[in-house]
This record gives sequence, structure tokens and C-alpha cells, in this order.
Amino acid sequence: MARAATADLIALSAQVLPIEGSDEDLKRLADSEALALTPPELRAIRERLGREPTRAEAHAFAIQWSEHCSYKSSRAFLGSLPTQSPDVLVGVGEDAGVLRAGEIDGTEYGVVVAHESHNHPSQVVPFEGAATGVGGILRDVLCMGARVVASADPLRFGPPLAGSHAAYVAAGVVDGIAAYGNAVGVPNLAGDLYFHPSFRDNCLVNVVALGFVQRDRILHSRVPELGEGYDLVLVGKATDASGFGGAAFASLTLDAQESHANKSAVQVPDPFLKNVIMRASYAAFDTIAAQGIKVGFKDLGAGGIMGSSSELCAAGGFGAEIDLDAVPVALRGLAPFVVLMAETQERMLWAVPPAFTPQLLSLYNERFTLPEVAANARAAVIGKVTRDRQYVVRAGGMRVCDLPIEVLTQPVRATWKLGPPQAPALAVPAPLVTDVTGALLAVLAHPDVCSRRPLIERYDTVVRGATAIPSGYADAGVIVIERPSPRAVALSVDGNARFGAISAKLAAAHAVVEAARNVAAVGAVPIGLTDCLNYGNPEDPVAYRELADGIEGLAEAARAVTISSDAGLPFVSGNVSLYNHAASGSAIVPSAVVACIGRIDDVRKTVTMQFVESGDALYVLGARDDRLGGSVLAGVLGLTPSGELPGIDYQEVNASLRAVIDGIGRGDVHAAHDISDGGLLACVAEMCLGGDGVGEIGAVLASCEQWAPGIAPSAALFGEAGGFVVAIAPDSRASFEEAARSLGARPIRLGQTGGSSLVVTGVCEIPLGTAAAAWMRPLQDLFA
Amino acid sequence: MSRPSVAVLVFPGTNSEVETVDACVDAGMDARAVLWSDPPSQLRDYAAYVLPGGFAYEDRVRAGAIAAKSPSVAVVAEQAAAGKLVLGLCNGAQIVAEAGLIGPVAIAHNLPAGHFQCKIVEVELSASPARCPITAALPPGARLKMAMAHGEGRFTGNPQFFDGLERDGRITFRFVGGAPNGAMHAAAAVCNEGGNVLAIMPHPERVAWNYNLAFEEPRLRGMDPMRPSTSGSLFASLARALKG
Repeated sequence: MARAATADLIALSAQVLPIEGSDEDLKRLADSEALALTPPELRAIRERLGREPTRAEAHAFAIQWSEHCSYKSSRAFLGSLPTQSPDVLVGVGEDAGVLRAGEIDGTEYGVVVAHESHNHPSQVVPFEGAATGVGGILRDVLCMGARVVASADPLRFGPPLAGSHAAYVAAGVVDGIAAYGNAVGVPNLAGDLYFHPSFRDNCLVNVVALGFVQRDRILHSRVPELGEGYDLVLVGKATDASGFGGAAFASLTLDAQESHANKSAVQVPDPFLKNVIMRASYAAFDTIAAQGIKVGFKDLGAGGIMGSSSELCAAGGFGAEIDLDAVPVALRGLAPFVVLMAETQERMLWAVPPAFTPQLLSLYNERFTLPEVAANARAAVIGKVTRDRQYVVRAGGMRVCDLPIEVLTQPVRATWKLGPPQAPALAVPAPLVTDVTGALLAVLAHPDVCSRRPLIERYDTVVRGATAIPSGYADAGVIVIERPSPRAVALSVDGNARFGAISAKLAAAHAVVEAARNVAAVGAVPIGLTDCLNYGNPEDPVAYRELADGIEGLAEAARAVTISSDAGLPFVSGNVSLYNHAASGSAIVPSAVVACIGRIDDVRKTVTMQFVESGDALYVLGARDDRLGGSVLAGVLGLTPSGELPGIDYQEVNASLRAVIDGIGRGDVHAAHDISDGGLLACVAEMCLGGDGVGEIGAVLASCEQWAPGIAPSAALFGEAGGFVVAIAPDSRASFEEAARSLGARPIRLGQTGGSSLVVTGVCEIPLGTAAAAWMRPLQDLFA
Repeated sequence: MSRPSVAVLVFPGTNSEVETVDACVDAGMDARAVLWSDPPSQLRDYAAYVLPGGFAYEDRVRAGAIAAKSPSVAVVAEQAAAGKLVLGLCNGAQIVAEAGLIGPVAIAHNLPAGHFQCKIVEVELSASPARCPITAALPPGARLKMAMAHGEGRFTGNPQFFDGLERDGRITFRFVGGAPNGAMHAAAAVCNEGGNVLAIMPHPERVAWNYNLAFEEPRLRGMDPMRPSTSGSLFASLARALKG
């Protein structure tokens, strides 16, 4: 096994860096050492330590104090988000959050959820960047002691013109997600996709993963009480230099000229090894539960061994001693500080009682043969949990790190100048659309609206055999928790990029509400949220304001959606990704991406968006709105891109959510779909076509004045004010209307299902085949 | 009657063992996952073998190629020669083919797509049910929904040989409406001459229960979600064959 570093590399790691001189001197030091630390931060390190740091320590600070790890720019705002409700089993602060999923045979189950971004790596090397994004999020869920059961991918790219770099990035990202998820055996359950010029040089690749765990078997990202003397066991791939500086990289600006240098900061995925590690870990969970052992378990992400071991031990109130000579490495000649902080994929860290260590090692190394699955992969003891809260790292007998663990893990704060409030959007009168057929076909063919089937088919959506509604057939995906129980969970992801371009705050609020509507549209009760906050450079007052506004919008909406708890919808996990802008300085549009988890007591009572019967009554819930800002129609017609967004009436939102969920539960609702991209007419078209685009049941809508009186017809048909369209069995009309009204919802009769065209009386009659051709085609070439 | 014992073989990279075991257990079999590190000789104690889906040994060289040369598959081949039943599903079918258990049949990359495709497909029992004991309890011409999830699932080989397979009833299932992966004779499944080894490319086990298919078959809504779907009936047929 290649292990020992040479004496000079050890000395290099232990060498003391002089923190002295002017800001210019310190900037030069940071540049020459590739340390992402500002002069004030370098001085703060010297102050906190009471001495100058070693090279290894300085790099550890650069990572732990990076935006990615410390949330230093966003922490001040994040406190406003609701994080508690009776459904929260594990809130923010660990590798992933856990929500109550329901009781099966007297055992309570939790649904584990984590949400991350891998934006910068995916822009630089799309395939590997996206694949390692999936890999990382799966480990976050696994480390809570869960079976990993689903993933979802919110994606944002530049306009996908044939032959463009944006198209290359999009295709590579989708290939990477597919290659990883399909091989590891985790089904893709949901996702969304937007195209906008601001993502051309900085795509967004967010990823969400779900797991299921029995409540009494949840593992935590901390050394448990009485953990003094526990072994620290590193599991997984042999450590190499890949991803060294990855967390710092995630917090830097992308520069095309430096993209070659940036590539070394991207990790290398190995889904095959991960597949085996996951199965071995499941076996470890079963043994740990059977023997009642107390353990800690944490993913290796940012900062590698350093990040994981320091946080695992600090969270439990302990220190750690790490022996770098015990770390299995992939190649000789790695400096100890690189081994300590490289972000090699497919690794995790256990803290276990020494009596259990031999059993754990044998499980990974012998029963699941890790060393035969990948070169030098294995489980190995690399250190001890200590009582004094000191973080000590040795290599070749020298101490390369020796500092109080809290100094390292205690977050710093950065406060930047907050720009003025965003200018109010312009009031733009709704246009007259004379050719509704042409407008609908253009809307259906718009990249933000058209069928995602060519992309979704690349992903395995059915592995594990637990999928009840795969991605693309309804507003949310649905999986059962544990056969033979009918309990299930729904997942949706949202965040309208066109809305983000107009109002950071309102776009974020719409994302929360739409995510809740999406899980309700399959019959699930929304119980919790995660977020990924993708914004520009916080040092730019405008971008910093957008971040603050976005969080304000999330908080406002999440507190107001009281469908499952008076406290609103809690955020249980999340991520902040800043510095998303091109080297030219142009930032991405503010992008708060939200995932919503819904609980389903009986999977029999779920519906998709597709019509199933002719003669069903169609209703719209949610008032139509004349404001067309951010709509697909505005884009198609070339209207001013900064018109006002539709508003949100939270009382109506709560009433409609309840009416739809209850209606589906009673069996009144045959199909449901939320009104979003493309507006009401596109929504109904999608309900006719279904997820495969082959639906044969049309719809006849009354003229607009009947269901949207006082609203311009173009806004009634194409406006993107949120709401639902539902198809109700004819003999359930009375019960649906009555129940909905008693909840305070206002169901308005829209028309009925039937025929083989989409008809708006007196306005248009579009054969379904024509609509399908427009809707199905656009992404076929991009993901061919 | 005792529950027949079925080994579900797990290789590094297998990813469908849980639903495969569950589908077998729900159909009345005593199915167990057997790991690659378990002693291969103990496989002889089982009445039948199911090779599940995934990417065994990372599909290095070719899908199924490495696993086909593993000691466990050598035992399965020996037991198949003695007449025991073997069912290969997706990657398991690729392993069975690579091991030569269904004759000179190759399974190549999908055409025209050239990449992984995942969707629900319908297949039809195209041979007499009794030709392969595993399908003997299915009605003639049975149509089953299965989940296609592969990038290399195109059955191919010498065209005359495939004509012979067709005549001999060895193309057990055929895709309805044409093969989405370009397979010869639209083959979705091929069995060996003896009929006791069956290689199916789409997955029955991932849509083995009503709840897996209700999203596209609304008539299944409201029905017991955990009852076997049409695909699940294949496992019942396997159980029937083992119980004799």
C-alpha cells in the first residue's frame, strides 16, 4: 500500500506561514499558497490561534471558512426561515434533514432529504461535475442511517442552441446524472429544467435525494455521548489529490481562462464502488441496530478528512487525533495536507466503539470486498475521538495541525453592503392575442414548457420497484416507503427562472407555493421543504440584496402555507451557492430552488395530470391575473421582460391545497395539474397529452369571460398566476364543489373533458396530435 | 407445500436485488440474496436462480462479461445443465447470455437510440406457455407490462439462427408494437433449447405490483396496490413451476 509521504512533504505541511505585513502582502501570500482567504480572515486566524498557522492549518481554515462550508454571507438571513414543525424529526444542521413519513406496523418511518448544488464543477466538466453532485447528495442521505431511495435534479442552462456550449453542458450534465444514478441504483423521481441566457457561463446543477429510515435507527452526524476513545473509521475510495480545494473552488468566480486549472478541483465519480459501499453500509446499519451500538456517521464532502472529522467530533463536543499515515492512498508522494483535505469521492467516516471496529472493518473489507471492487478502497481506522477539544493531525510523527477544534468549526461571518431594494416591476397591459392556436403551439414548444420525456428517459426512474408515479407523469413523483404498506412519499422541485429575473423575493415565494401545489396535485400533504439558494457574488450589493430578498420570500411563503402545521412548512435541509456568475461579471438570475416533500397515507389515492375519462367536469382553482410578467407568453411575443409578476393570495393557496388533497382522497378528482409555465391553456394541453404525450382525451373549455370575467383573454389563457386545474367525476361535482367552498376555495367551472381536440369555445380548436407534435419535439435533439 | 428456495445472485454493481427478492417472496418462494463473497458451492442447495439487474462488475469489457466468468455463475451453469430453472433479468439476462446459457445470442447496444432508455413497455408471450417452464402458468399470448431500463438490450445474432429461435419457440416474449431497442424479431426475452433458462431484458420485478402501474393504467387505481401486477404473475408462474 502506498502510504508514507517523504520527509520534505511532511515538513511542507507543518511549515508555519507568516501572517504579517500589509493587505497587499497578505493577498500575495494567499495567492502564492492558493488560499481562498482575505487579509482580514488571515489576521483573524492568527488572532484566534494566538500564533501563526501551519500550511495544513491555513488550508483547513480556507475550507472551513469558505462560503460553501460556513454560510458566512447568508447566515444572517437564514435565521428567518421556519425550521420547526411536529413533522420534523431531524432539522437543519446535520448531513440531511428527516421528516415524519408515517407509521408502518407500529414503527415510525422518517423520510430523509438533502439538497445540494454542483454548479461550478458542472460548468467546467459537465459529466463528472454532475455525476459527483449526485454521488455527494446520496452520501448525505446514507449517513443518516437511511436506505437511499430517490433523487431529483433541478437544472438551469443557457439557451440550448444547436452546437452551442450551453447545449454541450446540458447534454454532458444529463449524461453524468444518468450514468451515476442509473449505475448506483437510485431512481430519479423529479426534476425541473429552465433555460435562460444568464446560465450560459454558469449552469445550475442542483440535486435532491431522499431516503427512508426507521425513526429509532436514525444515525447522527456527531460523535455520540460517551464517545471518548471511539475509533474514527474511514470507508471508501483510496484518497488521491482530486478535488483538493473543491469547497474553496465552489466559492470562487468561474473564469474561462482558468477553467483548465479549475478542472483539478473537480472530483472523479465512481458509482460502481458507491453501489457496493451503500449495500455494505446498509448491512452495517442492520448490525448496529441489532446490537444497540451508539455511533456517529458522516459524509466526506468539503474539506475531505479534515472537514468531516472535525465537524463529526466538534458536534459531539469532542476533539480528534488523526493519523495520516493510516489513510489508504491511491498514489505515493501526496503531501499530508493534501491527503487531509482532498475531496476524493465515495468516502465516509464512522465514529464507533473500538470493540465494534473489527466487525465493521470485516463487513466492508471482507464480506463486501471493497479492496477488490476498487484499487485500495477499504475501511481503515485513521484516528481516535479525544476528550480534550483539540484537533490534532500527525504525519510521519510530526504534528501538521494542532488547534482547538471550535476555532476551526466555529463559523465566521461576512457582512457585505446591501444594495437598494429592487425597482418595482413595470405594469404592462395584457396584449391582444388574435391567433390563440399559434400562440399555444409556440408556448408548448418553448424550452421551458415542452415535454421533458427525452431527458427523463435517460434516467432510471423505476429501479428498486418502489416507484408509483415516475418523473414526468404528474406534478410530483411518488414512491412507496416499505412494501406491503400503502404509505408513500411525494417529491417535487421548483423555482421559476423567468420569475427570478423579475423579482428575487416574489420568485422565491412562488417557488415555495408551487412546490406545495405540485405535491398536492398527486394527493400528498406537503410536510416540509429544502432549498438551494443560487445567487451571484455577495460582494456585489445588488446580488447580495437578491440573496436577502430571496430568503425573505422563502420565509414569507413557507410561514404562510399552513396546510400541515400552524408553523408553516419547515425547511429541514438546504444549501447556499454564491458566486454564480460569469467572469464578465454578469450574474445568474436569482434562483431559489425549492423541493417539497409530501406525505401519502394510501398510494391507491393518488392521481396524475392525465385525463382518464371523457365527460369529467373541469374546474380551475386560483384566481386568474392580468399580470403577464415572467410568463412564457411574454417571451414568445417579445413583450417587455420586466412586467409585473402575478401575486400570491395565501388564504386562497391554503384553501385550494386542502380542497385538492381532500378531493383526491375522496376519489372525486380524476386528474390534477398545477398552473405554471405556459399558463392555464398549456396546463390543460398537458392534461390531455399526459406524460408520454399520447393521451387521446381532449377538453372543451367555455369562453374565457365565463371563467375569468374581467381578465384579458390572453392573461386568462396564458397568464401564470398559480392554481390548479382538476378533472372531477360527473357524479362527484356536487361533493367537490361543496367541500371546496366550505374550505374557502373558489372552484370555477372551466369546461369538460372529451373529444380529440383542445377547444376553447369561440377561440380555438387544436387537434391533440398537433399539440403533441409541438410539445414533444423540442428537446429530442438536445438529448438525442 | 414448502416454499421453493430461490437464490438471487448479487455481484458488485447489482442494483435490483431487493425488488427481485420481494417479487419472488410475494409469489410464494423462499428467495434470498446471495453475495459474490458467499461460498459458491452453497448455491447448489437452491431449487432455482434469479440473476437480477444492475451493472455487475461495472459492465467492464461488455455488459455481463465479467460476472459470466465468476465462480457463482459456473455453479449456476452446472445446475442449469442439470435442469434447474434460471431466470436472468436485464443485467442478469446479459450475464446469462455472456455465459453462453442461451446459445449464440448477443445482447448489444440499443438502436437507434444508442443510449440508456427507461420506459414502461408491453411484451407479449410469443411462444407456447409450456415451452419455457417459467412461463407455463401464464395464459397463451399473455401481455405483460414491464419496465425497460437498459442501454444494451438488443438481442441480436445470425439472422438464420434467430429464424430458428422463432420456429423453436425460444423467443419467449416479444415487444408489442416493435422493439424500442432494435432487437431482432422484436425479442424481449429468449430461452435456451431446454427451456429452463430464460433471459428477459425489460424488468418484470420493478413493476411487479399494481401500484407500480396504476399511473398509466387508471383501472388499477383503488385496487389493492400490493397485489401482483401482470408482471408479478410471471413470478407466480415461476413459483408454480418449482412447486411442480
